[in-house]
Amino acid sequence: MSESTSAIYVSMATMLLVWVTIAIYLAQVSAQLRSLQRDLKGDPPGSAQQPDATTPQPTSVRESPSITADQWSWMAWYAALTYGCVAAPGALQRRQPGARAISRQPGDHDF
Amino acid sequence: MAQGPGSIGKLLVGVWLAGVTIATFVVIPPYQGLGDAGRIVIVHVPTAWVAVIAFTVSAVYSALYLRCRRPNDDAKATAAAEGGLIFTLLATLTGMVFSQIAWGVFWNWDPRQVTILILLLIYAALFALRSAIDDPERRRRMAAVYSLFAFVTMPFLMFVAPRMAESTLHPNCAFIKGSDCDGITLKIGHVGQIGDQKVQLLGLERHGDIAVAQVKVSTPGLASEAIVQPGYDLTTRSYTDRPTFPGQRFTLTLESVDLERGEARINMEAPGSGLLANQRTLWVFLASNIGFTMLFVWMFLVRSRVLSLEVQIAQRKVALA
Repeated sequence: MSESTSAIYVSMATMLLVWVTIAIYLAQVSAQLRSLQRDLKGDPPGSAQQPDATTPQPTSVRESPSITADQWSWMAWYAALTYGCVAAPGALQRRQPGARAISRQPGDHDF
Repeated sequence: MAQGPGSIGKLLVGVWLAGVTIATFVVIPPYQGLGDAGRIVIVHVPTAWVAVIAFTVSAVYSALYLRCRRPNDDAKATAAAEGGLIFTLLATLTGMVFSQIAWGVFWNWDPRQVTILILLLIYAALFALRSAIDDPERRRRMAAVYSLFAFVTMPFLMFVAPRMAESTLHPNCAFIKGSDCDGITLKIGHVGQIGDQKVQLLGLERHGDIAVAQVKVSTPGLASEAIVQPGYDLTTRSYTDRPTFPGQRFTLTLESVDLERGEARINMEAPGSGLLANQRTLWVFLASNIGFTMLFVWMFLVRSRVLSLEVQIAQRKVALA
């Protein structure tokens, strides 16, 4: 694998990392929004969760739901991807002992 | 039909960013000195830029909350800060990959790396603070005040502190305190200083269209000396070879050569400098900035809506209790 090829793979992996991060965030938040909208439409006040008068109620309500098992698995997958991306340059460099990952190519464009 | 404009907006953002991604690998030429690794800058800088916008939006809504005490303002401030934190994290990670390729290490405590890490920790503490307070009203108030204080540090950490540093490898105009962004012009035999390095132009030779200079470089205290030979293409008027300063990753660049007068303008650069001088790179970079800003607006709108609904549901539950 040439130096230029390895550099382009690392650039692609880095870009993938950015898009995956944002996609996971948007997917999670959008799913949360749909769920909340369903809750708001489906549960008119006092119908489904009518509190028992004898049950003590908490003085405050947490507004953010805790992290679900699904979210943990997403995070684990993301951590693995991040590690892969960060470790890639080192691994690629080790395949070419004594060479820098990038050097000027004779055909490079002049800026 | 009510979701029509929203769906079109999302589609537009998707198509725009897909175009930017393709252009990053197809339209942009490899950068001299960095090759294909220079493409990382197309996502690295916009993520940092969007983080600045996000923290500014968060501060504005925090101030609005303190003034009007509307829970929706707090929801928007939180959504923006969350977006800012994600983009700051992405800027740090993409910067680390770039750093490994350009400088040989993921993390070398470069001033800009340190300041973005501090910013990351400051805003991470905002969410730690939010999760530590149970009373919603008190949580919103404390978070708004903290957010304003955090915002005050942001311009200093992002723009001021890195420029006050004595030395940085981060692509910038003045890499070392005292260096001239325009470089220095030397006649053959003359001595000058770039940053903390003494340089002497020993000679200029012409090999066809290429001019090669012999430059003696001396480190502070004359601890070491070396002769390097940067090249310059007289037809395209750009450098052909940029040797590194001995023991450093800064490069010595010839920016202009006048063979008749026997003089050359030389400069010190870090890898990544002058990346946007190419028009194609510049346009893709600008398109990327616009795309990431639109993406942030999308994330902000969805997340602030979620937080507002959570507030509504929580208030409803409290009212029923």
